[in-house]
Amino acid sequence: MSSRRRGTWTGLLFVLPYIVLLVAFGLGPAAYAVYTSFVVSAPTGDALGLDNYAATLGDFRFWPAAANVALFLAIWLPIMVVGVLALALLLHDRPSRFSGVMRLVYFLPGAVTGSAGILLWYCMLEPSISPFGPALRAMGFERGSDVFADSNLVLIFAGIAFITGAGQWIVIMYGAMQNIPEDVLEAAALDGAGPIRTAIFVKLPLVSKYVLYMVILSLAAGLQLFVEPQLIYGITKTAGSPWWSLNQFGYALAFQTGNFGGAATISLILLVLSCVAAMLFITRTDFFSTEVDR
Amino acid sequence: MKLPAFPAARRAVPAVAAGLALALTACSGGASTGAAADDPNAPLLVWTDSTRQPAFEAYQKANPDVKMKIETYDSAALLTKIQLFNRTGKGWPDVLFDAVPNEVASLSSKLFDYAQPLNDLVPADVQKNFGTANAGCTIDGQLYCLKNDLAQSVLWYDKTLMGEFGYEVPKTWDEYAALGQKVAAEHPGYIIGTAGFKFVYYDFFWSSGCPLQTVTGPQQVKIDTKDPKCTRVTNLLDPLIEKGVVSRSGPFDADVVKLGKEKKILMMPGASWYGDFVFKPESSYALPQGRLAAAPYPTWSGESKAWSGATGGGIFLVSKHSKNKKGAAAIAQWMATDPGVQAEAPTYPAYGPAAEAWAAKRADDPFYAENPIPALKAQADLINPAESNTAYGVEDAITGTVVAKVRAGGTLADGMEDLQAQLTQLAQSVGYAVN
Repeated sequence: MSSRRRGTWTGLLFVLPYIVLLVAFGLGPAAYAVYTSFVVSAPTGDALGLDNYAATLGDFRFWPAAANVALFLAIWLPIMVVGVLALALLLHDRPSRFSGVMRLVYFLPGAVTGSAGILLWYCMLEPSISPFGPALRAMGFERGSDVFADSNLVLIFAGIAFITGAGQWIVIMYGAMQNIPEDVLEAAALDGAGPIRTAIFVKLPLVSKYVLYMVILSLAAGLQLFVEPQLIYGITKTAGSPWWSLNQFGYALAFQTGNFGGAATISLILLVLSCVAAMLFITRTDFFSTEVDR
Repeated sequence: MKLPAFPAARRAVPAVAAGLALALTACSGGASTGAAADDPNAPLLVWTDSTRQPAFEAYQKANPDVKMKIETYDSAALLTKIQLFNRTGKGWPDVLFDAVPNEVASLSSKLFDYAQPLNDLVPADVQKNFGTANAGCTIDGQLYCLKNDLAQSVLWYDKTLMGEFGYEVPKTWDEYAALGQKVAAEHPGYIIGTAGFKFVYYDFFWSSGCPLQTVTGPQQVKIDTKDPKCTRVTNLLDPLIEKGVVSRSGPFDADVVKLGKEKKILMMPGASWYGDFVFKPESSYALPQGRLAAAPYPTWSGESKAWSGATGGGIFLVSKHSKNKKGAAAIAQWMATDPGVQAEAPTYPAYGPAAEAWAAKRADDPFYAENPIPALKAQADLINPAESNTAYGVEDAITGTVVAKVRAGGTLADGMEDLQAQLTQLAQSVGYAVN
């Protein structure tokens, strides 16, 4: 009993710095946002109770932004999961100097600062300045506005987010696969499993927790999509809008029209959505179950 | 998604910033009221863009006793910064150059609570010499800013091409449309204007007096995209866009720049600064010397005057939180009115006497086929007063509706209903009554 208690205290000590930061920059602002969303009025008058929520949900900018983000997630998340896993499995299958180099290559796009990466992508996709201009024109993209048409934006953002974000996850997945005991893989090989069967029936189940971890964090990140649409609109001045994504809409509310109450409602809606999604993933899977629970 | 462990961090920046701003409100007492007496020795923080920076530095040089700190700032973040300063209770620039004139409506509103009325800080005769230029700075009878330059629209045209093709410069929009049809038939590939950028508002809708931003009283605005003054714009442009003589792109898009370099722009309705900043530069249209000319703006049928729109035109503001308002106003006034400074300014001065000095310097610029000054001067007093500044931006709604439709292959008219809905909601969201 006493040794168990000591373990609890040591554990607490280890997480204490994180808890301090979490309260200061996570829970504190979130609690303040809750307060703001119910109490701070919009510039139009005195909003109390649910007024801010009603105004936000009824705003012409909210639902299109929500639809954009939903579509973005529907495209980007599957690409992320399948792409990251496929590349990590390929890297892991034949450990060699080549795969070491490739690991670095996959990682590199993510090492470029986010905003700079987006500028880079703009330059690659704008036919008039792109080194791939002839290829773009051959595909029928004559002008920048052909590429950055409203219907293409979600694909472009998903593509940018995948390329800039996949690298780190590939490295993490690769690390997770490195932890798979050699004898397990050997046993699989002796049982006659080829590389594909080994990947699907041995490796994947053993790294599934990491995959869930990636999905939860990616979902939270994707819901808060901001930099890509904000910068692309800032550069092109025509593609998208300052309220293309929910986070952008919240930013516009807070700082263009001083509607902090409205902005707080958006941040809380995002918070609730990612928490609910995370809870679903955790409770519907054995993400946090231990040997004892089984 | 920079750090794998905290992928949300990068996207969460605005949320965190908002959170911090809110947290700071709680800590700070309310904003200072500025009731304290003016201190002529109080240091002055000046915020400017890089273009105006040398002029502010010249003021400092001429007035070494004035304690000035001159900084450039990010225009896109201005309203954000002012909000944050309001919450921390300090940090406001005493003198501000703002290149987005519409923002005076926000900055003078109760919400932003930044702009100082200048009625008593700027001498009456100076105010008078501005003529109509400060109309947009005057809100509910108070003068909240001094206009730096005017961006009145004129009809830019390639005089050499006009001569070659044997065309007359149009005096009315009907003539403009007729000429457009002729160009489409006789010289396909040449353009007479653009519609695929937010400037379509300033160049056409504003000039026509289409009520998109027609302020009718304090916190009251008229928005009516079905007004005949709006439909005559779409009726004029849509057929010309369809024929390809008015481009679906904007003046800065690569394809229009390419046409400019190929000398295929016959005419372009646009702001007074297009000559020096769009047609002339090597990186832009790079038109050779002796081709470009400016004509007075065409007149809409039924109007007695050839109204212009206004694409920008910077303003100087003074902070109501300044401890040295007189000193701050003196700097703003000098910047806007000094003939020495304004004669060298890149754009058409708003201040009448300074505009004379500016015009004298440019009358024989060999870049122009003929002196553009008479046209610029004529239009300077003809910026259509129907449109005014509002505490919400209209450009994003223009971009998201009519411009988006045109760029995607549709018509301006397709976007008018959405424009009505978006502008109305934007206005109402900051407390305007829409009529």
